[in-house]
Amino acid sequence: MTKEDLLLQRPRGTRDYLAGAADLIREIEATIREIFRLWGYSEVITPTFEYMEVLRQGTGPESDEMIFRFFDREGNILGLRSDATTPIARLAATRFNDENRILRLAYLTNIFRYVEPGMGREREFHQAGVELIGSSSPKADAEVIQLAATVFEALGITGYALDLGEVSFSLGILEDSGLSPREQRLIRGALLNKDFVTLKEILAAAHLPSETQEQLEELLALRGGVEVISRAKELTKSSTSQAALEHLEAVCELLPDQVLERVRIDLGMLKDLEYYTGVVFEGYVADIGYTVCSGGRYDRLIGRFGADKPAVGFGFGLERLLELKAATAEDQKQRVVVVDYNDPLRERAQELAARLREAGHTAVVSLNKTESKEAELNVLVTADSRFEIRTKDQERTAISLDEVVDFVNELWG
Amino acid sequence: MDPIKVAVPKGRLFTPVLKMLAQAGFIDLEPDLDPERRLMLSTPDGSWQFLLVKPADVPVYVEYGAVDLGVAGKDVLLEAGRELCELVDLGIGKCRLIMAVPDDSPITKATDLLPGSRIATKFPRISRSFFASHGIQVEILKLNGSIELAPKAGLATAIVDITETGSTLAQNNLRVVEEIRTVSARLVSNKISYKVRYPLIQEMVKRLSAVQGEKASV
Repeated sequence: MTKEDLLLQRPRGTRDYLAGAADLIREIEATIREIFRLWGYSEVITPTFEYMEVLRQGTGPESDEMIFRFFDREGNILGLRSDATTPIARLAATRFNDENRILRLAYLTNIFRYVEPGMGREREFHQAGVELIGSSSPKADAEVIQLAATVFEALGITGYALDLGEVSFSLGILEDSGLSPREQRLIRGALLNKDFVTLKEILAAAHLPSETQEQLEELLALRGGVEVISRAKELTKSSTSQAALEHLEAVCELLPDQVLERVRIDLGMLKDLEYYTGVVFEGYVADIGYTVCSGGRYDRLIGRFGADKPAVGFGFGLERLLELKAATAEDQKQRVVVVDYNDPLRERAQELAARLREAGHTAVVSLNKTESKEAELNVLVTADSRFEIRTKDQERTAISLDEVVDFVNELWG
Repeated sequence: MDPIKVAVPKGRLFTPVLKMLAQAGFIDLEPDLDPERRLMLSTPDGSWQFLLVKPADVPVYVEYGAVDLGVAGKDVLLEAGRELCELVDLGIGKCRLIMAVPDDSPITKATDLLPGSRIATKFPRISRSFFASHGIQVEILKLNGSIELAPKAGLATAIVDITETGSTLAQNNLRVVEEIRTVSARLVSNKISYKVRYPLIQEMVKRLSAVQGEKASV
């Protein structure tokens, strides 16, 4: 590409948000921020870039190529924030090292990942989420799951559902299976991608007794209502998996009915970020083909920064919410009164604009004729100190500032 | 309730897939069905709809959720690299992804290729990863058809293509030197449809697997 080509383009995987979309995304953020506040989660803001070593704790060494990286002048490698949880884990470990303290933290931030842009995947995107740090109790898991459901409700997204899993369930099954570490790794990869053909192929090639093979196939793909937990309990002997199932069951019992009826159990669920250790969940909506919210328990991540603290959290993808809301949002075009004037009445025009703003209306003093002509509502201050009001379908003359304000009040509520 | 939508590939998989869907009781076979004219089939009650699309477009329809399910060859899936769930190997449309060279070529395996050799293929992504995994530097040329012609015309040293019986290769004086992998048709689903419409998707998996089981036991 030549320099001229680049001049007009955005880098791949980035977006411009124009007036309507930017307003909508801020509105979504405001709704979410208010819910987080009401639930006692305080917002934190971490740096846009961090030392590579910090971010790598979250991506794992195998996925660190997704981090946008650069050098500072001392030669340190820095990276753009590639997920919200890892910097908060660093912060929690270094600033709040009190044994039994519970932390409820929230964030609304942009995230950068060097991924191939595609459906629902950008290189810069925005997330809003929470981290509940300091408790390993199922009560903490249930709290954040209920909070995620509340966010859906507050945004007026009615058709949502939540998938619930436990990553140590399949871990236990695999450890007990007699499969080699390589086979176990391949199976975890297949489960992550929901590639059941590969899963079956690996199991078939592993020369297990046919009964074991069938059982593994069933267990690793178990999905359905809460009753699949008891089915899994009957089928598995692994103590790790049993513990996972008991924890999951406890979480389900703690969830209120209106949340529980949204929940499906997916025991094969794994996550692409490797720090998850326990309960994991995903929120989705039938209308769009990808996950809207994703979260889970990560009991060892904060430990990598020197303070062993259990934690659980989630993040919503704001672009994905925007896509859902944009479909239903009314025309968001902002209503502006353009005040124009005949010389030398600029001061009078300023006065009118000030009065309109006081009354809660957006008002600008016109800078050229185009601005006045394109206005949905235009007021011209004339030499005899009258106001000529013009909208698309009416024209009238007012004699006082109050009369103009009353007119706009009536027109736009 | 919305019908379940399934993308069915035209092309070499078209007839075997329709036959399988008919055997599983989803559709009636229409002997003079012309895939170039018809775009859609459905069950009598309208609960299952089958969209007839170009094979390479199936993964796109599925990933974006325009359809819930689709049937695609593993070759097409590997080449597309889309995010979707692979549910079951249908065991039809079996063939091999191979590298072939002209009969009179001295090359007997991939590593014999000189650096910078040109490879003609419809599968650039699969080819790139195959040669990269063998540490061979080649130039991949993506062609849209008649791949067998490329060596003859002096465009490429070797080709990467799929072959069922090998007869087209033989007719064009080409010889297989590497088998990259075997491929067959897969039932795939959109990741969210898999969650939202799980019971119906499982029903299709079961009914198609049953047909496949009958075939295997004959």
